[in-house]
Amino acid sequence: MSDSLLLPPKEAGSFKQIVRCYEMKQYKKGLKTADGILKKFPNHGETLAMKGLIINASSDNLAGGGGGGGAASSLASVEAKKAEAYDLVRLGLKHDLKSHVCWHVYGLLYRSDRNYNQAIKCYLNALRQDPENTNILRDLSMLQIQMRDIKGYAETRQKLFGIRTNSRFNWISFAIGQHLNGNHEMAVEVLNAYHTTLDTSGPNGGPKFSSDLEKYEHGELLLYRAMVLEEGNLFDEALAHLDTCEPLAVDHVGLKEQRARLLLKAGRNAEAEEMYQILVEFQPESHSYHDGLRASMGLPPSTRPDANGGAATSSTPEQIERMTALYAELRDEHPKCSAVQRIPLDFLPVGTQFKTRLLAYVRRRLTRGIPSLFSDLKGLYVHAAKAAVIEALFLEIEESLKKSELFPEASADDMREAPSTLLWTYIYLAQHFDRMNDTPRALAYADAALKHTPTVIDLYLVKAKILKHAGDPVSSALLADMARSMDLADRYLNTICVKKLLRAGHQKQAENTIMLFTRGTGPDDSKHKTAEELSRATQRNLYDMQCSWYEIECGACHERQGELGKALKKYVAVTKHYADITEDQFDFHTYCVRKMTLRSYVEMLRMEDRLHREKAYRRGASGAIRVYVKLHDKKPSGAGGAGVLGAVVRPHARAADIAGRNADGAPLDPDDPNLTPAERKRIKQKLRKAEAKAASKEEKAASKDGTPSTKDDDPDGAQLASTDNPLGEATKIVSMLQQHAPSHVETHLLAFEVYMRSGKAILALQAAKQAVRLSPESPATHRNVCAMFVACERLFAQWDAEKPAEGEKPAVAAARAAQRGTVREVYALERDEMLPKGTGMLDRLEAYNASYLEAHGTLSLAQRSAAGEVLHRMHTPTDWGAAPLTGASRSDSARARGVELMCSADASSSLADRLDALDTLRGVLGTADAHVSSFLSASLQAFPYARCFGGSYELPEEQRPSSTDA
Amino acid sequence: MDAADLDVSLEPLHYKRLEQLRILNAAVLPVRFPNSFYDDCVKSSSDSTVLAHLDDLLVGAVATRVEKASKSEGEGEQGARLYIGSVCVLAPYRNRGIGGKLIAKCLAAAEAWGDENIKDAYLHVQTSNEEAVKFYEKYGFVKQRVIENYYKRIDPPHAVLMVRPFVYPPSTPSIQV
Repeated sequence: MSDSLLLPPKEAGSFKQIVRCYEMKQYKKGLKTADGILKKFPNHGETLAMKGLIINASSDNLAGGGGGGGAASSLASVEAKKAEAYDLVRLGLKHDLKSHVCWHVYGLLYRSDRNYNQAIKCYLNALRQDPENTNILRDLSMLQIQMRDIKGYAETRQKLFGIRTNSRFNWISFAIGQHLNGNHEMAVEVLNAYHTTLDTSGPNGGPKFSSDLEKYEHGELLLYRAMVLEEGNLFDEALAHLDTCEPLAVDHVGLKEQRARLLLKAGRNAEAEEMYQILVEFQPESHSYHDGLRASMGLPPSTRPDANGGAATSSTPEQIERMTALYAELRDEHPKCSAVQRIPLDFLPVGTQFKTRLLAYVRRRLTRGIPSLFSDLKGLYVHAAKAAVIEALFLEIEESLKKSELFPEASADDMREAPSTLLWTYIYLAQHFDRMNDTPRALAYADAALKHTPTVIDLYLVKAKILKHAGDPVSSALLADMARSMDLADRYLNTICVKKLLRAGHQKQAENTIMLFTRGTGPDDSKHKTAEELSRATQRNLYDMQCSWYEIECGACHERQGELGKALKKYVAVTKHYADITEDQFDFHTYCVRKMTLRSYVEMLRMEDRLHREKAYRRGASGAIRVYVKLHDKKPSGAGGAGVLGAVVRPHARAADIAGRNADGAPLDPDDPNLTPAERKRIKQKLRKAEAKAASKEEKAASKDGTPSTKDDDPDGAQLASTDNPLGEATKIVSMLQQHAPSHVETHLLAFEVYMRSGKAILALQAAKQAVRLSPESPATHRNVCAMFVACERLFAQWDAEKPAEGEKPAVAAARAAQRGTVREVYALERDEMLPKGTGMLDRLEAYNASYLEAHGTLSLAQRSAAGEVLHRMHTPTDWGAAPLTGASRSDSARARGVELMCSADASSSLADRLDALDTLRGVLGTADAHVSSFLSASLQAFPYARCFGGSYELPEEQRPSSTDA
Repeated sequence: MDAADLDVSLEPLHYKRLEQLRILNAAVLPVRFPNSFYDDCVKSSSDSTVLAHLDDLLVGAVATRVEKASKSEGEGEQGARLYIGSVCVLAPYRNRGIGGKLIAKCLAAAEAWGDENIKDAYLHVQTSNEEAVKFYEKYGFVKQRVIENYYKRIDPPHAVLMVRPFVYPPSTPSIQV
């Protein structure tokens, strides 16, 4: 405050008042006071800065609280005010560079705009002027932890602690800083030292608690210390600490779990086993307790979580025997527990034991009609032998129930099963055969079940799923709509139905359906709102609710229909949700420390660090990247400037999901020649009704003065899509993915697409290498690598042919030559590492392709198709085979072999693989080629219901939703 | 072999699950009711329309509507009536006591209204369906007359009209001035 002393006492007092006004949010009064000072001292820096801060705060108020009408105009005025605020603060700073107040204010301004990195710089400058200012230090530390500058955070908290040791907040934050910075011993010391300052006159050596809350906070503090000890690998100390704090801790379960875990980590297995026995006793359904129990007994963990692509359990016979005995015992103790019955099915090898346990398990669930039985057992299907046993057993059950209403091996005196048991057996078998890719039998069982009891909602969803897998998303959506209509109060059914409608390309109908559950768009609201308003309100509400699944599916639906702007809008919305979630943690840095929920706080920080690895983020991000790439490809050539590299990578063919392929095009178009007359009639009827309804609503709305809803300036994403630099936008998202999701091959495939188009050879090379490392068998990876080598050869040839531009400075030319030299060098290195030796480029590529085919060609059609494509393109003189590539005389027989590979589907080829292969064929040979049509008809034969091959499934009338709704 | 009765729960119709009733009736009956019938079920008499659930499965239902005096059949009778449009049980669940429970519950629910304007319940049975006639007689229905050519698409097209009067207990408050 020394500088403000430059003001005469009266004005200095007024200045203090400004600060007070700002804190009390009395912005008008603050402004008036500031203007008063500025009248006499127009160059007083701190006052100028404060005035800027107040203007900014009042503009935030405007933007946040305003909401209502005229949003567009108020947005502009907010922008103007913000600019004014920045100008004032900068002006103030110019007049008083040495004032910590000015720097602090500048930092606050940046912070309010979420520009944390700039804010940190300002705070550091402020501290240079006033190193012990606790307010600034505190603000700085919050920004540092938010930006995960852990080292800086630890330092700042240490400084703050040095200044004021009598605050609990400072003690704890100091410890957290040390903990997060990896200095566990120091953190424990701090916590211990803090402990000695506490009163210990209460029971069990703790303080006297005046409330339960205080007791809880103290317990959490103690358990936090145990957490730090555990993470510092100080297991014995942690265990000793748990013993002393047990009577004071409130979270008894958490404490027991930690103790068991620590005993295991410390290698004290016998004690760990005892502890886990207690936990299993306490909650026998917890799979993690069971895992711990087995680990402490030297037994392998459960294989439940997806079994890593089916890696067989590598238990020894001795281990299996011990586990069998263990679970027999547990079963006696907990006869009603699911987990103790389900877990043996994972570790038991196929045999009589397995079958007996399986029968006992499914019997109870079929009798009770548990719809999730199939999802429960799905994990077992990674073992083909177990799947076969399941199939045989269920067929046996079906037979037995039909004959005697009894399960196999039941005695004749047993209670007869209710008719619904047979129904659930049918339903299971339908799901089973769907999983085994036996569509005809799956449908036969679904229909048998529908005939038996047509009122089971789950059944319609089961059949919908079968049809989805069979390639008919349209009929699948109809069935889901049928299921939805059977219970209009069920949000889950509504959700499934909406998702399926989007997969089927019916965006509008999907919106009308989800509207039934969004806020302000229900049947009552629809009476006085136009269709347009309702649609906007729905989309707005889904955005506010951060409904990512919808936005991803809706984006994919638009993307398939070529509506890139709308697709982009949805995908970008998803990425924004994740930015918001990151942002939302800010308040918790103070809140959690104050509330003493320290363990949860540290876990939350870690969760936030993993946030952008989540599937929903990745799906939204990759969708946005795909669309940006498409936008780039759509630009008139020349404008793109990607040059040779971009020209070789083929346009990204795969849409978000093949499920909805070919269901796209105009949704519900009555003139679609693929429709049956009955379908056409229904659609026409629906359209007529919808039109009439919309018209009547518009009339009503026109007569009434509707309240203007919050406007979205760019509802269809047109502005988003009109960006001049789609690749630049894509690159930003790509680097997020590279940073947060580097273990997903998709990340590097997308990076490759973007960098190739931006002409960045080295970055594309890196991406291709990462993809090969993660997934050498991936067909897209293989195609990318080959395309890249071809493209680079061409690029270098182009460089060689280039003439120096006239009037160019020699220094510029030299710099460019040096840069290009480096690129070539790196490239040559990688080429020699990745490709087999040989003379010409094409020869080497051919050998590379052949070795890929040999290694992965038996996996599936996808790999053969990729290899075939590479072979064919390489030998086509107008394609990759064009000069300047040397080696391999382009041969017709090699091309023929390429086609053969691309068409080499067999009985095991999946729908997705066939569809991809079809795209590849079309891309290589053109759509009119005879191979394309014969491949298409063969595929239709294999998947007669697949819309993408021209097939469809005709639903019987009674399985269609009646047309009375919406 | 007569199997044991199934343990079903009986609940009144919920309008958000009306579609299930429609599906049930479509699966069991050879005739289709117009949508207006189902709308009436919801509007006029949702608690005399009773659904039977086995665990969570809908396996049977009785669908009713209250008919105002002017709408009712018969010769110049006054007062409202309860029309029982359908009594359905899915084939695999028949002969296990569900139909009887349904009809009993339905009549009990209607009587519990205590509305003396509603004087009786009536229904139609195809003349060939003697079993059904016997079944309804068990619950107090009496054959009144045969309506010729009542059905349009099934054979025989004639229906028996069966009626069951409601007897309100004298304790029903009837205020005398």
